[in-house]
Amino acid sequence: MTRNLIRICAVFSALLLSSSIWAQQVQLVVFDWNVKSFERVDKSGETTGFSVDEYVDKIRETGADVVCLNEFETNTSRMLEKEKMSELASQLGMYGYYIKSYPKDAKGCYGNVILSRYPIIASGSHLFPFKHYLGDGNYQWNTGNKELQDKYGGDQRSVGYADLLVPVSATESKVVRIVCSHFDNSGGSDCRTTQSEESVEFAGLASPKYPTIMCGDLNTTSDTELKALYDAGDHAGVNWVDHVFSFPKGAWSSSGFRSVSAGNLSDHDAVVVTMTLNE
Amino acid sequence: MSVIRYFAGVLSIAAIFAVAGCAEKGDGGGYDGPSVATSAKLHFISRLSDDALFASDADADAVGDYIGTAMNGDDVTVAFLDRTDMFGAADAAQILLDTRKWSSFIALGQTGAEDFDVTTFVFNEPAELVTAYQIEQGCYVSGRSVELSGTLTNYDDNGDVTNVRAVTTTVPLFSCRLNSQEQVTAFSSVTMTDLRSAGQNFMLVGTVKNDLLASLQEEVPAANSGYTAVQVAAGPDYTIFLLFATRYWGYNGVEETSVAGDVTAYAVDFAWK
Repeated sequence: MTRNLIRICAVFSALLLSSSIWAQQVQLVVFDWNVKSFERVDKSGETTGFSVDEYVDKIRETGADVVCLNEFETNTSRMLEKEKMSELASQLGMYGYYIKSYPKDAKGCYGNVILSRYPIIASGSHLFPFKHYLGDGNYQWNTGNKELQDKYGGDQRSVGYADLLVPVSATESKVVRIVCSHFDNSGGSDCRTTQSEESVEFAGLASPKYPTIMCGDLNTTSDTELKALYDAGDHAGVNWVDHVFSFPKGAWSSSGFRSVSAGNLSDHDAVVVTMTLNE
Repeated sequence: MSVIRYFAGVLSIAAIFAVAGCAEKGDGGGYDGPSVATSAKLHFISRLSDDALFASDADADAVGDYIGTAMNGDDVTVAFLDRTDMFGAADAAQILLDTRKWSSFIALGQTGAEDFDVTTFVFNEPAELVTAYQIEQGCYVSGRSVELSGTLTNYDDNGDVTNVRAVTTTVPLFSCRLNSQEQVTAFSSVTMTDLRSAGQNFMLVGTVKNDLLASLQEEVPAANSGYTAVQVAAGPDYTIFLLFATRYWGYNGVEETSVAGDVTAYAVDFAWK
């Protein structure tokens, strides 16, 4: 596909499918997906060179304006040192922000991604508290000390935000914050409770600077573990452990929350929801 | 073809280094220049016109080639791709993919219901924090701290180089575009205060409409006498300026390289205390 065709597709889909700007309202199609590092469920990702093409198709089919991705490995040797976020961004015509959890291989890293149809003007990332039983410089397989694993989790996780400039008319725009995180899956309840609380504090969710949407594989459906998020905002929906929240309370309306079957592409289905900023 | 403009830098060095704390030589010999000089570079790629950066695939390829060469050597540097815009987002991402770089973005202004002028800020590692300050609707200053490779050069009493050492310097580096007198005034009177609150040693490389440069150069020091806006290079419609606090930074000069057609790369050489 030539780059001109990609540009035309991006503009055309933006005109047809993206946020409704004629009503001077911010409306975003928000997409969240744990992509399992493009490995695929049957581990065939390596044979495809960890191709992102089918993932791009899935995203494009939904007309998403904002894309949050978890379990995002990039630039590693098995990825042939290809920066996968830029690969997605170039095919989708989007802006990207990489939320780094830890380094992997000589040049790679593991973390989360936020992609946006609209310019990302500011961004930030935060590492959750983590202690590895082997000491500093170790980020995965924290299984040698149960107490540490229960408290801090199996590997280093993170939360991050991207502030998007979203047009509401031909001359005016609003800033919207998107938060993305991937909570721990092997630690104890306290670990994810802490990660919820840290997310609220870092991204300012209790009193947000901008209207905010948070997405991610939070590895829990426990109201207790996610109490900090429920206390600060509204819950737009969940599929398995993949959630969408909005902040502050009452700022957003959600519609059409649904899952998108991932098939062999991931052990997580994607979730899609239309978020409308209430005026 | 490269054009090196250091005459402005030469005039600046004595004044700036006198403030920047580099040792001056006053005794003996005829050399009264600095005993120590610092230098690091950033790259600003632009048409300096009202047109977007990428007019064709060939433009994007040429910019990508320049970035690949300028940013994949031993020295750590950064680049600003001025006016990649929304239409060029895919091309900019392709350049990042091909050169294995990361980026953040500066919203320069809104130009329609679904369109913004945008600059892409290119660097070597994922950014932990990028901050933005509004100048006016749709127009922001954005940037982050970056660590750049540079050199520290020692001179003897005769002005001969006695030693050149590789060093690094950390720069809170920002960019913006100023398109109107209202933006120049808003930036000077309000946005600069916001930037200074976050860190007085910020540096900003940006563009300003040619006929507004004089106003910018007057309003910046009027708002705060410790800051200056230096002209780097002028194009058909816009001028690149470097804005900084003179107690922390200085301007050495610029090297221009033609990238493709009207697209030029400006390697901006700056100094630090």
